[in-house]
Amino acid sequence: MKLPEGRKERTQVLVLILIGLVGMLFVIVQFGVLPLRASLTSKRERLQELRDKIDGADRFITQMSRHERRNADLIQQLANLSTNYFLQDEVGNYLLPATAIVRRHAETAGIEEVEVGQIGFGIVPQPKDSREERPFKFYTVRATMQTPYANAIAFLDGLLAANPFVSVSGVQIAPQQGQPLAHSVVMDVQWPIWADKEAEREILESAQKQATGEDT
Amino acid sequence: MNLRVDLILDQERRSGRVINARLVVRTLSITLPLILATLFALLFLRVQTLNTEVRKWEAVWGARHPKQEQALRMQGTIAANEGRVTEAEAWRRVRLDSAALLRELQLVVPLTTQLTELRLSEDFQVTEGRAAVTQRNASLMLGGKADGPQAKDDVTRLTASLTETPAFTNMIARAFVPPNAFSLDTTPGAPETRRVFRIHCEFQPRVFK
Repeated sequence: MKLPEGRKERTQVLVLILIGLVGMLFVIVQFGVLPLRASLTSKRERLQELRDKIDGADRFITQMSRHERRNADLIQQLANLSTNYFLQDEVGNYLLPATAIVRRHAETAGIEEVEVGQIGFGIVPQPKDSREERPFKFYTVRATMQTPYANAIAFLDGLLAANPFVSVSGVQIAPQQGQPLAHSVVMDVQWPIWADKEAEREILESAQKQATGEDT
Repeated sequence: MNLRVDLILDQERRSGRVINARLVVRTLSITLPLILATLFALLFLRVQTLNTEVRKWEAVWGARHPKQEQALRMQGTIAANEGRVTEAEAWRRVRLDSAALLRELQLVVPLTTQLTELRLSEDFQVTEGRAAVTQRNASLMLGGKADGPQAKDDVTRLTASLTETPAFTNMIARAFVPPNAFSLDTTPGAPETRRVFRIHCEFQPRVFK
């Protein structure tokens, strides 16, 4: 295509071409370049975000085996405490095993007769702002016996030495009329027990799985 | 007479300038769109490359995310189990060695003094204030009789020894005879020099958790 001969017409055509070019450029920039640039920026941000997330995840994951070992260790500790030191119920009855324990230690201490009665369950109070629930509660029995002071000490020695988690929350010693050597001794013996039996079952099962190598 | 001889026709005439406007226009009309198209294509390619990269990393994240969730759950489980172990250990830590207490009591009671009653009790209490904690508190009440003119001294000495004897220093915070708790033994037949007394002991509170 040839430009017109006349100077004026030629200028007009050139201006028109220029306007057309500028318009085209505007359209290309507005609807092509700018959206692409925006997309580029958002993709870069997304990529950075993903890399940061993956780095964070990797930090967690690399510690996973250490955490698994730590958890396995904690489960073993809890299972050991639960089995050996916490009072285990007999079909929901805590008085039976508690009575057996008290009687066994009384017998060892030379105490012939001991009466064991249930005081009941209790829970250690929590500060008001605490949101956690206590994992354990306690079960208390009252052991009543007539025995010399030394035997009462021997009973306590045996009971406390056998289980570092059992405690005696109350002791009353009073004289008995006409029996200067045998005192009336009342002791409240307290064991921690699981507040949530389901949690206990889970811990024991996990420990069992670890022991048999089912869980790594 | 026209002596002019046109060796070239008018339409064959060219400007003598080195840079021809038409040439510039023609060159620019080709190169500018070419440059712009190239830049646009590069931009488009970069976006496509980034798209591919994002998809790749999203796949990686998709694989990592469940593992991270698992790791986070594991951390939660560890925290819960650590809390349980700490609380279980608190039972051991705050336990009062009542056997040792009773044994030591035998040793500090003067020969002229006879204990007739002993009441030891423990409970849990939550302290007041911002940093509230649960404590295990214990108290002990000793009742007895003291004979002879030195009865007052014996009871005073016994009271002091309950906080000063090494076996008790970390256990008993305060021991005292409450008002009117040291008096004449009014039991029929009791000698006039016999006194009955009560001593109260407050134990060091032990922070449970």
